Amino acid sequence: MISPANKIERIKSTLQIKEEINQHIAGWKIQRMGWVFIFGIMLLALLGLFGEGILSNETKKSGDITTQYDRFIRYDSETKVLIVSNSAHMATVSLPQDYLKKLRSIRIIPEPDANDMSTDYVNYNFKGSENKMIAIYLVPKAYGNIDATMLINGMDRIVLHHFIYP
Amino acid sequence: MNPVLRGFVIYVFLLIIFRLMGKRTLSDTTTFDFVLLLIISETTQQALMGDDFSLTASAILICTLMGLDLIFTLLKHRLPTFGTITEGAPLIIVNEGKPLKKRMDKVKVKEDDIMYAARLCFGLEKMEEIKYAVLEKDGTITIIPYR
Repeated sequence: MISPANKIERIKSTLQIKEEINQHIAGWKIQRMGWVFIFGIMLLALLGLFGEGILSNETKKSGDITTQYDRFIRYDSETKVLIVSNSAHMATVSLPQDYLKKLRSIRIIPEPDANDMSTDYVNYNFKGSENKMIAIYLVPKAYGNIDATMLINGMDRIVLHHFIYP
Repeated sequence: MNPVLRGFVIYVFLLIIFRLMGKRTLSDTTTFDFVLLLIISETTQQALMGDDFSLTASAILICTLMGLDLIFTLLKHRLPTFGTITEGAPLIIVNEGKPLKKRMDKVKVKEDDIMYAARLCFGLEKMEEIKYAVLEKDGTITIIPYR
């Protein structure tokens, strides 16, 4: 409730203008709500609702393998899926073809020695015997929710969930 | 995203944000506001163009922005209420030499701002010499002195 001390002055003037004071008062209220909205967006962005923050960081485990990635990502903005193995060598990482249609793989470190395709998957094959960390850099090329199951060495299944903002 | 949709979203978003920030944001341009505007324009440019720097995309976006501006102008002309909502209305902030403090507080205008406008336009020295001061739709302060 507005106390009389805070009431906006009502005046009569000889000026030929449409002041619309009631609309001004309503506008100031909406403006206040807008400021709360702007600060809310800033806070949520800091927390990672739009990517890169505690709300966005996701860690998945499957056996000895840990995968870190961002749950919330933005269109055309690079993101990373980091796969770390505590013991086993990672010889193959398989990503679904549908997933790679929506997120374009731009770089894989270390570089795979060979790629091949199976029914629904693109397989990245790594040589050597001590490959324990793989970083896949992706650029989203679609919007909305994307779920995919990644396979490590054809056995360990890791489900990835992303939400891509436009 | 389609350049037309991108242009539309950015145009409406900027319209809403600047409306929420209030009138004084664009009018009372300080050095910092100027820098802020430069940063906003740079950010907007990236969001509008994305990674498509083709001549066609630029032409589509220019047409879209001009078209939207035209639509908004026509709507404001046909529907005065729409104009008041999107652009606001003038507000009297000094009435017969007396500053209307609560109104000034709401629109973040100080007496110094009014006196600056009074000195600039009419060389007035005191608040009592001002009959009306009006914060216009574009954020400028106009002064009507006693005759």
